[in-house]
Amino acid sequence: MPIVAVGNLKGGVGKSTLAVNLACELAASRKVYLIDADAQATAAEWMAGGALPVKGEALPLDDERKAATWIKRVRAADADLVLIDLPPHTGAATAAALIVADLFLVPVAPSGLDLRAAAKALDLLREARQARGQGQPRALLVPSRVDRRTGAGKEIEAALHEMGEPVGPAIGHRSAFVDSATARDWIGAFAPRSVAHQEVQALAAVVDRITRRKA
Amino acid sequence: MAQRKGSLVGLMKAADDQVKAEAQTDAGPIRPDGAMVTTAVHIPKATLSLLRRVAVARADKHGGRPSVSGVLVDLAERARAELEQETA
Repeated sequence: MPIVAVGNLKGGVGKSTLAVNLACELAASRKVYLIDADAQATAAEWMAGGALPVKGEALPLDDERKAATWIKRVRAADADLVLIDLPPHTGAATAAALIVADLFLVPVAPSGLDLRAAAKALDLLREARQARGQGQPRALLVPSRVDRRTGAGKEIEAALHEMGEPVGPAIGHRSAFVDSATARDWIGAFAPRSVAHQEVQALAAVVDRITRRKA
Repeated sequence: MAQRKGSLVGLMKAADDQVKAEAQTDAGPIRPDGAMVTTAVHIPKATLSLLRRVAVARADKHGGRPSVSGVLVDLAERARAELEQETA
């Protein structure tokens, strides 16, 4: 059962939006379980609205002594794929997710602060790879909240490619994402075939391919 | 700070190893118990070739004779938790 973790060490980059919408898109072809490891519980509250086509739970991990229990719960999920929404810091949940995940998705917004936070997240990723061996987990940098009208928005892919990890399809800075979250729905139901939905579909196709290759 | 991050990742790796070891210990009645059976499996040539090479490498490293069956059992045991979850 592939495990995909969505994380960055900075808030406001669209982690929960990405995690929820990606989980829902992938749920069209696989049984997906969404774990909200962020104590803010944004994704869990979103799921509590009842409109999403995925099941999941809030499972924060603040105490590293409870890591084994957390890992057991994650691995025991009754699903074809587990997606974990991580908190925006280098705590126990992020470290544990890097140890169990097959794929680490790092949404990065186009700003200097976000790029620096992403570089720190990749430092942590490399530590996990060293501990696990065999190049696990794989990583995918995801340009997030991208506004192509800005210089930074136009150059985000180039900046991310310099970090030495694969770069996935971009997710735009679109009001449809905000509106769907406000309605506690996901983009594929709230605005099907919109540009925002197509962006999520493109990213989901890449994630699907990577995780099936592993299986 | 770097020290802290490193130790946290190491702690989580240790926790994961513990979980995997427990999963093997708690694996239940279908753990290998010494009763062996002989069967045939239909697998790609390349896969069998890989298994044979691993078996030979292990025999070179640890002694004994090369055993493809041993490699397969080892793979299944390592993945036991995941495999049993599929049958739950």
